[in-house]
Amino acid sequence: MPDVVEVSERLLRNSLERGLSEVEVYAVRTLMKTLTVADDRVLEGAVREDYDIGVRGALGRRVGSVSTNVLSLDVGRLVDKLYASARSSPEDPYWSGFPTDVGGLSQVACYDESTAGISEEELAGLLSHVAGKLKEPALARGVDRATIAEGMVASGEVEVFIANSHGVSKSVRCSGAMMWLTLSLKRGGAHSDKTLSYIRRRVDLKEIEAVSIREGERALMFFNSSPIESGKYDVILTPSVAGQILMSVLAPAFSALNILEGRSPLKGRLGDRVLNEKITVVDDPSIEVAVGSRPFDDEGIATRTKNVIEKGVFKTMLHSYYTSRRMGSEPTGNGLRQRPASQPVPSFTNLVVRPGKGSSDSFAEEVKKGLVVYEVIGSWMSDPATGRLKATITHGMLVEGGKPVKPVKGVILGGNVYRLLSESLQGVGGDLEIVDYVVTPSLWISSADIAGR
Amino acid sequence: MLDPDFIDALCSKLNADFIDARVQRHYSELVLLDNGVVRELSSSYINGVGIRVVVGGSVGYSSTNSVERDDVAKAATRAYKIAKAVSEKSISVQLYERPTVRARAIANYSIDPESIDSSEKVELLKDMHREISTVSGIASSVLRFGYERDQRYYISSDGDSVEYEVRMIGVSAALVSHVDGAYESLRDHESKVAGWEFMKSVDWRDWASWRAKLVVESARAPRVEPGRYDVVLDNDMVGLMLHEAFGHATEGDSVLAGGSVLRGRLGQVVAGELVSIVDDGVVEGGAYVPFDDEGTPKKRTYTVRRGVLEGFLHSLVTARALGGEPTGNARVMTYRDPLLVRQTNTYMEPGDWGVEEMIRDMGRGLYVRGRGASGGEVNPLTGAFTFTSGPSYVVEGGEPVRLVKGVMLTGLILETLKRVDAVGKDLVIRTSVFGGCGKSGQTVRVGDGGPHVRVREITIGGG
Repeated sequence: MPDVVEVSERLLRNSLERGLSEVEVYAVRTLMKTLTVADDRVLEGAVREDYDIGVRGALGRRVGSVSTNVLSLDVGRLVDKLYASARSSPEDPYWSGFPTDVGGLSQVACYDESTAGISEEELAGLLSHVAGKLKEPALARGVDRATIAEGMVASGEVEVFIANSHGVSKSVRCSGAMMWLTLSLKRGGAHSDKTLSYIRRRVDLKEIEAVSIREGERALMFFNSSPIESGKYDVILTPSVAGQILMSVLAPAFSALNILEGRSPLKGRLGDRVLNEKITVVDDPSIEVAVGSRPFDDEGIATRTKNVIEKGVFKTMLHSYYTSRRMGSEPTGNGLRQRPASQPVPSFTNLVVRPGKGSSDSFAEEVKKGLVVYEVIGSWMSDPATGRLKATITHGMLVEGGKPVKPVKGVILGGNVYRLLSESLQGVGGDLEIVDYVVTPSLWISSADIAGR
Repeated sequence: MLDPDFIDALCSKLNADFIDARVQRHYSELVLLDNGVVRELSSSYINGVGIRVVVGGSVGYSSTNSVERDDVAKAATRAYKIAKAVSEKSISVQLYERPTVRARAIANYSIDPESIDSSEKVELLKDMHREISTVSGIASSVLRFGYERDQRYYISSDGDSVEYEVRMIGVSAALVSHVDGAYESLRDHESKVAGWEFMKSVDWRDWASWRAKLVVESARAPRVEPGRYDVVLDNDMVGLMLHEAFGHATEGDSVLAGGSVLRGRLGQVVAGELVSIVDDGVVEGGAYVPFDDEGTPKKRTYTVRRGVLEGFLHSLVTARALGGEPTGNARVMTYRDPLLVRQTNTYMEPGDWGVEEMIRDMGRGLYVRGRGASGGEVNPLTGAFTFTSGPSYVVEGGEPVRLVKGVMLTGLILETLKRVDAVGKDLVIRTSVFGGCGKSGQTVRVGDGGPHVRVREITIGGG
């Protein structure tokens, strides 16, 4: 991205000349092709190439920032705005500067040429192929209608450039593919559906075929689903649900910033047992196909694999450069940004739960009576500051004596995640799946609160 | 300068059926104060042009961050290419032919927030933080000041030329309390389509203090027992419920795709007879959407009238395909994004109950409050929706008697609104500069609200 790098470097130079004491530039170029699906056909295709540049500048301990996507914008005007922002900002007593180049790159392969450079025709072909596999189980069993009601498939690349006035200057290009497709089935007067979700650094055709067929089979399970009675139930979270829940209610609690600022229940708990000993959680930026994989974080600090929870014990908190300096610790390569101009905050690259034994299917056979959960909505409304889990189950199956007895929707799963993953944890499966930034197996939890009829 | 003639010439050159362009100039400011320390003080400039090309019924999108004619022409060529590439697998799209629109609108404001020095915005948050710090039990406070100026210019090969400009401004708070070993958190915001005069019209210290005291009180409150309750929902909760429980399922693109439980139900009873639901682009307290991003004037649209499903929300594409009329609901988050059918301001029309009257008449249940609610989500195909509330009250003997926390509600689209049996006289609609409604990766500004409403037998859990 020569134009973006050139503009970024000019911003860096001009900002220093303007009188800022330190400057950092973060630029990102996104090139993505997307097909949107409606009622079994392509609704539209889109190709986009975007640029975004964020600049942060410090005047002593006063820090301000600006961002733009307009490469032709007057650099002088932008630098004046940056200077004014820094000057208006009160001093941050904890500010200790932007990082120096503290450690090369970790060896992470995040680029796949065929995924990044996929043509429009190839993307349409991939969509047809996956949609066909998703529908295959239902069509084989003679439903009245099987359609891909809604969805999208996208593929492309993201290139990131980071530089600062202390000598950091790094860039990386990573590929990415994303697919979500909702299969809708009709049989008699009844309806069922299931959504396939797939996000990776590269498309693995065999893997996505297998996932499609599995989700297609699951779509047959949810005809005539309805709420069940309120009460305490054993709950078996399939990996996709476990991943969503861990990301929303657990992951933010390991951020050193949240711990420092009093919004993590793990404050003061380093070294304590906080989860069941069956649980080991790793931050692993090196998984080749996972979308969180990266050689350095959004400050240019090399990423590395580390145990965050080891056999239930809280071992390592996640740091940005800012929190590491504030706490006198080593940076962990976890400074990630929400926007190009925002301060990096400690976040997981990929959150990995080490596998145990069994699977959602084997747990379902073993449990006397329980609810297997395949899809939820609203888990993002859980509260990591308190550890309270809230999620509404849209696709569940009540099982008794190892047999499915009733499809379930419209019930709420709630509870304290630290209790659910400590004394209530019955099993950690071996059926690892990649779910966005999380790699997790199924989890079997006893005596969870279900609110229903 | 881009104009309809240029877009029409592009359309002829590419031999396309139709081309439109969404030109956007967006400026925003954010100040974030984290426990009294400025974590971010930023300004952002986003400019660009999004192009849609329709050729042989197939649709392609592309965009550029330049408004130069050469760059726009290149984007149109990219959009044309992808439309042609997927034409064999594509839906054959046709657009509703409405009269050409040439119009301009600007949302009212009196003091330009861009003329106010950033230090004044920082000081406003620091004042709030000082007030919060006086409340015993507060463990964390994150305060935000947000402002945006969004200028949109729509032009098409049919000769449309529509321009509008809106400013939004507001403050948000995310508070965590820690009392006797118990944590509790609360998020809230106050925004308006306005200028700096809005910031001067509110006592922000009092606003912050009230929320700080509430989150501390909530930490001491018991959690709600999971189960089925009769509830009275306040104005904020009614807005959330309508948006999630019904609004999404009325969006024409979901209906057209077969992704909504409301498909094929026009004219059917879907709610209690007291329920009338409106989507309107310009209302007091709400978001400002005088035109959609296809240049169609936003019409006041009844989706439900006296309990009967009356219509869907439409773009030009869905209006044509579903036999409706364009309602002005085709929207994009930014120039980069493709059009989706989205709600604008969703609200229930008021009835004739007093708030105290309906709580007294309910006798026993919950008074569910929206301050501190974190939002909602729906699966419009399955028909299940969910949303959370803020700290709420147990009602016994017709009176709110004690605070409870951790309320999450769920229901099924085709059942819940049929259980509405009382609608209040009051009407409040709110919007936010900090977020909005998410769909397919796009967040757009919306407003929602209504009067107080009573719903029988709703599922509550998540405590």
